[in-house]
Amino acid sequence: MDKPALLKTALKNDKISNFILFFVFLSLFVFFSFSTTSFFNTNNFMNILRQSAVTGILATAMTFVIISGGIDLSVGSILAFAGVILGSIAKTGNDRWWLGVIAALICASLLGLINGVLIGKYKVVPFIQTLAMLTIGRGLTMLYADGKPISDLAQGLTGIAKMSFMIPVVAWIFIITIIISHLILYYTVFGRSIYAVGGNEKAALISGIDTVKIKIMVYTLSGFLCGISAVILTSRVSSALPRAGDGYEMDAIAAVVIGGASLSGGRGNVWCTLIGVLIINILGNGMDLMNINSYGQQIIKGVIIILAVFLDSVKNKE
Amino acid sequence: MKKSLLHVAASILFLTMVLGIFGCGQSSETTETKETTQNSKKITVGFSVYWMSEFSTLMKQAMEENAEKLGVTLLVADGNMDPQKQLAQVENFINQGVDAILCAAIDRDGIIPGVEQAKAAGIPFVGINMYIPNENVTAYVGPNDVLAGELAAGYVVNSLNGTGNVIVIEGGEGFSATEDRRTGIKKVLDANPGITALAIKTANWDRSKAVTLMENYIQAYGDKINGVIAHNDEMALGAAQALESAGMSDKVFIGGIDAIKDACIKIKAGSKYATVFQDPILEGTLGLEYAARLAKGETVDPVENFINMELVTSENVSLYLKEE
Repeated sequence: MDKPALLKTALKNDKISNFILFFVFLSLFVFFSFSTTSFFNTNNFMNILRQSAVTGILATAMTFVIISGGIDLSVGSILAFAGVILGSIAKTGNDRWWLGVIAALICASLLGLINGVLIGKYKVVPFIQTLAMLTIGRGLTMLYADGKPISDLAQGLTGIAKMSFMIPVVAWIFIITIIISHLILYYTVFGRSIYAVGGNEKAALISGIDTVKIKIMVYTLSGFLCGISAVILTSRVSSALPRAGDGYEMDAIAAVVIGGASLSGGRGNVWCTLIGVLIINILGNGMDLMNINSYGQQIIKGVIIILAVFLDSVKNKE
Repeated sequence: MKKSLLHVAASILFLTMVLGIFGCGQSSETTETKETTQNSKKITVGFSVYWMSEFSTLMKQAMEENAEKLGVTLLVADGNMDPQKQLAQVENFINQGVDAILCAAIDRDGIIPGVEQAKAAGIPFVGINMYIPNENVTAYVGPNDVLAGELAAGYVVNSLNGTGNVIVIEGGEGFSATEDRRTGIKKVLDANPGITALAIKTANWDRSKAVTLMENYIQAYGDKINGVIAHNDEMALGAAQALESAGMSDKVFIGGIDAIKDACIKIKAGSKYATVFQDPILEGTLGLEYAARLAKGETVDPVENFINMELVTSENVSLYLKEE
């Protein structure tokens, strides 16, 4: 019991680490509010919400996977694949464009299911399996779309990103996703089992949890959420781009890690991920408004990740 | 134990400092511009660019040099080849209340929501370098890419006296430059039935990808290849490199576009290579001028300004190769 003992016990109490997380978020908020005039206004907050939705929902998917002790590198590729499926069906003049949405969600879930089965049933390491799916998904996307963007989409689809009830509909979708995910994680047997599997798989197995089934469900859910993200992104840029989502897995992982989830599994929650997402997006938005170049932005993002992981490693030293 | 709490505090402090460093650089810049705005109303122009290539960097420098003269504060955002990021940048510009937006679009369709939002906010939106086919775009300054394609293909076809086999290496999909250069090249190939296109494929503007692609084609077609037409110099140079390794460089004619320095050097060295010059300085200057005039409520003519393109061969290369 040497020097960092107190801190460790302090941080063990999640309330304090959550407080630090919120403090960082608030400092950024205050900092940008005072250093640039165009940050603190409703219009910009709507922008931040809109800009957060896509990576936010991917980060929510990643939260489930990381709590279960895994990782999903394929979210960006699954998003792109679902996007081109959606785009190819929801073309201009198709009144039943929502069929495209359903097809996209099914295809995305299917890729997630494949991840889940191989990881859960055949014990492939999640990092390797989803890395493989990252390249397979991108390849399928390029093949399906012939490498070309699909434009001329149905008005109904492109209209989603333009609609607004108090806040943009896109942001509502994000917020509702967060709330439902929270309810799943905290109040369902499935949700509690995810924590159990991630915390100690053997113990979970002994206590009668079907760990294989839980893992399959987690990765399928992750795929499904990628599908929702794809609908939002496609609507937002009003075309389905085969290059879409390239590298988004890194932003999603960063948000979850900044939110304090442990990469070794068993810990984390979607509200903290939400703060993580907002921190990343406020950084991007604020620094854009201040006209700081993107190279500086990358450095600062990295520093925040290190800070978050540092807190995590202190927490886990015991 | 207090030490560790200090660590956390120090990390947060460090973070604030890093932010401070970038922040400070910014604030001193803005105070500087404020001083010069005393007498006339300063205009703010937001410029979102696909990414900082050699070409767009020259364009940006030209803008920066002319900004003061035009009474413009220039904000530059690098889209890093992500269409959603570029859209967010345009939205941020609108929110900042800039007086005009200049945009070198990553995706001609993906940027449309931004164009419409600018229109709704009453902010002039000027396309630059990449053509955006939409009626809400206020004005455009950029290359005549169809002509560029025609010139590059024309060089290869004429050098082969209208008979032979060529490889076409295309740019990335979604770019107006790819579409238009493709149209120009197709026009020339269609007019010359003696020329056969052995293969048409993209190397995504990338030199190293073009090397691989060309190596594969050399493997497949060998001596049948008489010419290469590429959508930019990077890829044309990649193809040249592969041909050189295969010992075929003195048999194959190569046409590129952009007249980057490496390409001009190659032409000067006497290679069977030609390129098409597109002036980044002229384009950047004119683009910013258009944005400034529209921001002041003046009109521009022509609304779509296609900059002329010139074929660069061994005869005129010295005009374009600036010695340092």
